[in-house]
Amino acid sequence: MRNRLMIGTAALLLATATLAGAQDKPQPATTSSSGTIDIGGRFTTTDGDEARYERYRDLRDGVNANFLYNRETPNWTFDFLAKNIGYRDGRYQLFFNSKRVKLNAMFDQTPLNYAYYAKTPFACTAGSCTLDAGLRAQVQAGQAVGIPQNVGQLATGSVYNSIARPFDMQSRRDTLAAELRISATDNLDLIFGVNSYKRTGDMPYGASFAFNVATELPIVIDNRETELKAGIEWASHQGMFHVDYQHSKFNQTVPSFTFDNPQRATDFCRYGNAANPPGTCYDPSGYTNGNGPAYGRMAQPPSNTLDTVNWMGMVKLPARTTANASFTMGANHQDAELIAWTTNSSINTAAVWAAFPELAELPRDTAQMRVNYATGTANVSSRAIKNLTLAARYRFNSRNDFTREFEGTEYVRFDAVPEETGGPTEAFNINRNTIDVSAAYTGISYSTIRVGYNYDQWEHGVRATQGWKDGTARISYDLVGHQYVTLRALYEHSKRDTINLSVDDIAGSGGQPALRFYDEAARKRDRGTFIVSLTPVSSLGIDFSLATGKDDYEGADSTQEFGLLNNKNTSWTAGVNYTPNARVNVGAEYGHEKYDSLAQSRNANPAPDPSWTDPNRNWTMSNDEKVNYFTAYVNLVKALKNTDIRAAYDYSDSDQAFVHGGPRIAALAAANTFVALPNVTNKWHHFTVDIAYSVSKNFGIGFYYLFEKFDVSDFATINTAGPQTLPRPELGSQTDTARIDWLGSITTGYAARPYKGQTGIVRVFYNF
Amino acid sequence: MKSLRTTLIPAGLAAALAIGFIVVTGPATAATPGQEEAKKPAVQAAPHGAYAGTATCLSCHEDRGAALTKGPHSHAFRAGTPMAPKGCQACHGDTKAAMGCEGCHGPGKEHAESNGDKTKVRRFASLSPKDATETCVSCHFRTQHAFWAGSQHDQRSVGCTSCHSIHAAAGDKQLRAASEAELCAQCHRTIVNKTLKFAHMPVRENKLSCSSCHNVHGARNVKLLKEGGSVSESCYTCHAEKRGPTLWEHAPVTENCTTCHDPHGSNNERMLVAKQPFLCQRCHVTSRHPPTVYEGYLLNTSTNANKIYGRSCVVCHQQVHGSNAPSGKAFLR
Repeated sequence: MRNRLMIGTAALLLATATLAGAQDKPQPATTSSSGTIDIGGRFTTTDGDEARYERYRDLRDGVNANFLYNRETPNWTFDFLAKNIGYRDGRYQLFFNSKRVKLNAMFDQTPLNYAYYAKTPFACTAGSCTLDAGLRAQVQAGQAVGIPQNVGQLATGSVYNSIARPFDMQSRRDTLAAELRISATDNLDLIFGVNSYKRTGDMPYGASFAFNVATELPIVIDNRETELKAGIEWASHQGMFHVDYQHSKFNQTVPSFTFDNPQRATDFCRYGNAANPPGTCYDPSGYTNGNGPAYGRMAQPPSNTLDTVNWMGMVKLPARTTANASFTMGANHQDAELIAWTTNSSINTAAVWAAFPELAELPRDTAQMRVNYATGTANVSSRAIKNLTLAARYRFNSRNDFTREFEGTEYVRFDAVPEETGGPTEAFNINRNTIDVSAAYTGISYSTIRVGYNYDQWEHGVRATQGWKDGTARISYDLVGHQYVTLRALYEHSKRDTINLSVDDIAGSGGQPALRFYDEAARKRDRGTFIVSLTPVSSLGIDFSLATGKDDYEGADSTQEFGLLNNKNTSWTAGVNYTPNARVNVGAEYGHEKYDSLAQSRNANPAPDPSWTDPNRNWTMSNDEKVNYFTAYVNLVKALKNTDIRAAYDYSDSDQAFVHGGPRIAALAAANTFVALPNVTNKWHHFTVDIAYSVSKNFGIGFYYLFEKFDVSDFATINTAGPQTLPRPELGSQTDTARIDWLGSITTGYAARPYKGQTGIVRVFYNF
Repeated sequence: MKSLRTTLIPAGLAAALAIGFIVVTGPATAATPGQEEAKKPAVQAAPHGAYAGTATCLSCHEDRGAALTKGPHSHAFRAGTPMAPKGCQACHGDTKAAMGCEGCHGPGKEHAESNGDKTKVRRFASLSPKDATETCVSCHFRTQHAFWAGSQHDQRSVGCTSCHSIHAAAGDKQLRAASEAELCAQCHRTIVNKTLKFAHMPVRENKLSCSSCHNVHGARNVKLLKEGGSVSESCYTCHAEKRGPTLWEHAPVTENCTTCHDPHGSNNERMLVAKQPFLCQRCHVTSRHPPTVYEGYLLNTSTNANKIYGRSCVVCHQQVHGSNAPSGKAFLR
């Protein structure tokens, strides 16, 4: 491939190491230091969703500082990099390399900025979200609207708007990663590693009391995962062998949280109407209108550990043959303290326990969960025969749950309704075996023709099938190394058959018998990719790529009527790159993606209601998405005297349609109770320019500019006048101001909203 | 198949241990290019006099030598690098000479004496990817490179020099492009484009890169994922809060995170492959509210609107990844 990519400098890295041993009688290696101090000011303006503009970045106004240092001696090298010093997205990296020691270390902070316009009436601390008791009492007494239940209450609005406070909803992941590699001998390495991921802040979380009493809360999160690794690796000219042990612990500092009920200030439980006394709170439908607890309690992802031992080896055999294998065993434990069946004092009574005896106490106080993992691979690849490469691979993976069953037939739904519709927990085991063989012929100039077959058998319990079997045949052609053209093409055909599909199990869990779950259903799959790159002259590259795939579920199983029936995706790109010399590189790329899917369902009541089997209740969802991408860039490295200029523009848009169809839709439309959902669209523009001018050999000035614009229209976003694209004239003109109270829910207002942001950095840099 | 697995699991373990035994009990020699060529050369063994010496190479190719100083191959203090004298010391005692350029390009005396005849030396640009790779893997076969042979890229004639350049690197790790995304996009453009989508991992913010999840040199896991033994196990390495296990598990979630999420990017919130509630409705075709038609009329008139806007289904079923609450069977607590 004659394309020459722009030879640019990555980050601010400058290396000045000399070449040791460069002559038969080499000169002694020298010691050198180099680095860059980069400091300046950053200024940001934003219209609209500022948090979305930042998202994983911290673009606040202030000092912008970066530092890079490198030192090389005849015996070791040392590199240190600090970026965005003092900001919430800072990164600090260290590399040390000597004859016997290699050390890599990094500390990184990555924010996740949800929304700065968010509001909430809840006061949330770690483990608790409370709501004003007085207002809750008013709502309970029917004197105020808590969560709007109808259009009239929408117009009134929730009383909680009066106490909702704006806040910045954001979290941050702090990562510490380090690996130390000690070469005890030329053949033996000792490896030690540590990774630590800490997440703190708040995040939007759902916590509800009924179908029409839902809340989105900014819960406080505080957890940390720590991984420790120790291993050894032996290598010789023949191959290598590696064994290591890893211990991973996820520590949940906030194991559960309580949250107040916006509709009630006191516990309650009553079935049906006022004729039934409080305490008789069994509702066989399981449905509740929120007339339940004063507060609920949610279990958070529990603390857990994973211990893993891993072996792997590779050996070089005669006749250009290589074999490698690995085996991993892991033990995953989780023994967190369990929360109670319910917080509701009206349910935790002798009267209710008389009807639901299992709710009197938990079967056990802690989870006592244990899952084992195992993975093994064995591969052989051989070029023993000229122009023919053969490869074979076997792989297995298993998950075995040894947890003692937890009896949960009787439980409490929403902390409001005791039920006996639960059941015992089920051990979910997975076993997967895969065999893959391929043969590649390289006897034609520049070409590789490869055929292969993959057999994948996945077995599991608990679900509607006992697993599935995938057979995939593939053929590919690669043309590489030619002066003018590079071409890659691949086609795969896959057929999946289920193992012991049980329609009774589907129906037994409440599903339509003709439903199939697409991740385990029978399926025909076809996929193809095609890439061609042309280099008519060494400085010019023209490329085109195409990827297409189709999954057909109903065609693979004639008994399937419901679920995902098929999906298809097609993506193509076309681009050009021009690099006339080492100083200039320009290019542009356009891409288009189309995704189609079709699913069918039936809007019905449970049997024996006639709607259960009525095909006139069927409806379909056709979800189609079209996406366009465009990228353009210009890199001028010293094309102008002492000046580096880099500019790039990225564009992405999406137009997603959600089209209901089928007889049920026609019936709803005829009754004037159906309004088609508008398309969900977005457009994203991203432009950057970075100019660095070297005033002298060591000193320079720079300017960086970032512009982003994001437009979005999404019916799932609720503003003060309602859903963005479904205006409600009676509520006034639409704005982009978030509304936290809509039908059936109190939220934080977090949703997809537009923004326009600009950031400028003016800096000076000193290279030493 | 179970009996086959019963047989092959111990076989896989035995294979790993056997490979280790062969490696460990073989001659304990340093893994240096020079000795590689002496004992099992990627290039044809050449008489000693066929080597010209690095100074001779640099007399014409000074620019290549200058570029080499920017990378780890120039670190003479590491025994395995071409610039380390370790290879020559096997025979020449305490010589400070190193294989140098000829450690990779092969003996160059004939090339030098023939006024630079390109056919008289190993030129990677003229080699097939597999042939070029054989030189590199003579040293780079450890740890993350151990599963290269037969890997997906190897099978597709993507070799070391397809992505790396020793003398003309444009980015970190001696890549041919300034970033991993730019490099991978040469073949995986449609995947890299997904990082530009609305909901994405922080790749375009330079917090993650392709190699954060994938080992492009070969891996034990599917899809060249470098950690774990399945897609979900790979995701758990960073998202350990989803690892559980939990009392109540959502089976499709436990089996494969990509059933619901597209890790490369999506135009749906939380990188879902489809917008809620329609994603959930692909499987939950039961009675009552799961298969209800959620459309604009409900959005504006009914409390069922809370299944359409905002968090949709997970405003109630927040514990969709699994619940550790005794009353969490429906993932409500």
